[in-house]
Amino acid sequence: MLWAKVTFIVSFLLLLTLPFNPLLNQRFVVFPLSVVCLTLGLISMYYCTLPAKSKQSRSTGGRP
Amino acid sequence: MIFWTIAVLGVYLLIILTIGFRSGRGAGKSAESFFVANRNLNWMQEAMAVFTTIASAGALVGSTGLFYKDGAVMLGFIMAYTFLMPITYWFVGVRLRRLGRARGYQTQSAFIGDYYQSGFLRWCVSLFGVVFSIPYFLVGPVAMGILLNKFTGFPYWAGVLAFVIVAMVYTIKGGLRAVANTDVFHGALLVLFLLAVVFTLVAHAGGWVSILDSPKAMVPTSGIGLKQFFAWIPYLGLVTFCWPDRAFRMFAVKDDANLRKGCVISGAMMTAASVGFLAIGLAANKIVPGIKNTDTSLASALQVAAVWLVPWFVMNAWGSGMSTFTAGMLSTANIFIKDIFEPWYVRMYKIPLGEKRDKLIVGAARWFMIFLGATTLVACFYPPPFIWSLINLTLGLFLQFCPMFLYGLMWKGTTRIGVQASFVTGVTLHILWSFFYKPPFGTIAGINALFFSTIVFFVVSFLTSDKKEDLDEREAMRAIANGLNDQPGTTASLSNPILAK
Repeated sequence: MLWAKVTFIVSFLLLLTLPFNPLLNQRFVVFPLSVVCLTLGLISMYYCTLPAKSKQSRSTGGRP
Repeated sequence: MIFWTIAVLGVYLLIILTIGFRSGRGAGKSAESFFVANRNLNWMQEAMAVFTTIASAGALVGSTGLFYKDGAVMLGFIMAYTFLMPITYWFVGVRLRRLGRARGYQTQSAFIGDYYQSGFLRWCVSLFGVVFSIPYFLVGPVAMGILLNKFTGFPYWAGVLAFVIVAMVYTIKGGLRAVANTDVFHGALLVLFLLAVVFTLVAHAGGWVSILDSPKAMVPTSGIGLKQFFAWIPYLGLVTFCWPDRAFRMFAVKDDANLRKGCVISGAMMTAASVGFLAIGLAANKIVPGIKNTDTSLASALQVAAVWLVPWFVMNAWGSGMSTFTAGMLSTANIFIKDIFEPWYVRMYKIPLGEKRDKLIVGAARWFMIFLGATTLVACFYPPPFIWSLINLTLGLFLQFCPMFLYGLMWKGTTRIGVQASFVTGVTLHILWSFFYKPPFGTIAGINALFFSTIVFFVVSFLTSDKKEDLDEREAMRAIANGLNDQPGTTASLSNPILAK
């Protein structure tokens, strides 16, 4: 799922570049921002690791 | 408080013993049942097992101390468990699970030996798994004996003895299933405890605004703090699937869906616990500032702010210590018996597959665990002087397994010589930078060594090639690992020609 991959990467990069981002690296911002990004990262990872559906199962609503 | 601490701990140990005994019935029937719970663990057992083994007693004491000292530098620690650990554990785990089911693998080394057709790598992974796991789990009872003595005056020797006996009894009786079910119970208690600690300490420190009003609530922008922030991410993110006591559970999960859920849930629980550690560290800085021995920061803050939580702290530290101790003991016995004892004994006495061999293997594993327990007790009372050096080496050495598992499963161009060269480079550099020289990037020798061993891995693999029959065998294994040729239910241990006889 594209949205999950994009969310995962953006959340990760946002936290990874925090030391170089004076706008966000502030004492009242880092903790809440981290909680939001970590939560989004975990939710998106759940969808990123979902097995891809085959064409057949898509057309039959998941049935073989 | 002394009475309540001993009472809470006593009740906890009784419950743990009951769960371990009840869930471990019939575990001794076969090696598969004892070591990998008949490959039938669900997502909850997998997630809790990984969570409680990582969130060890050391994490409750040492990691909270690091968060107290370094504050938001440790955001790298948290990111490792959110972004890297679950996804790499899932990537490697799902492949090893499929191969384990198809070919009967129960240990990392059995897979590595076959995948690269290398006796050298098989023996290295086995010996490292045994030699470096033992000191790591030996120190658990020491720490728990000291902790109980400090808070209750209970004699050190009695605390150590109680810890080792309870942990050994249910592990020897029930194998992995008993360990997994006690982990579920302990994991639930640990989550509740952390929630109670976070909200109590934050409230006592004046609320969220008060604890965040500190320079430690920001990530450092230069110096050693910045290096540590970046080093934590690969260090903790990559070591979990390499570490034998965490990795052998991959072989025990019943299917891909349960493993996937287990990985994400364990990542979520470690993330929540680590965010809790950050809040605890920041709050403890307000409640008890200026502590020199930071390992005592959580206990000191609890004694000032919420003394009623001290018995629960001791109980949870014991529970976490037991999770790590039992996982380490079972994983070490698994490696020693399956990779070293079984091939040797079977070759000597030509014992065929079947009930007799299973009984022999489980019996040998139980005796080996009794030996480990006795060794633990000796080490608790007469700790060898080199034990701390071995523990310092452990994490970084296990990290050097990363190229052979992660890159080797990702990249088709991997060659045996590339893996061997990378492993030897990583181990040598890690030892050199741990004891003799300063690491070039300034922090955490294991990560520096992994950086260079990764370069060696790709360069040597590009320059060398494997024999066609080895490549064909690896391709066949890759097909199973990638889910293209899954063959569930195949008889165990067929891949090893000695064991298959």
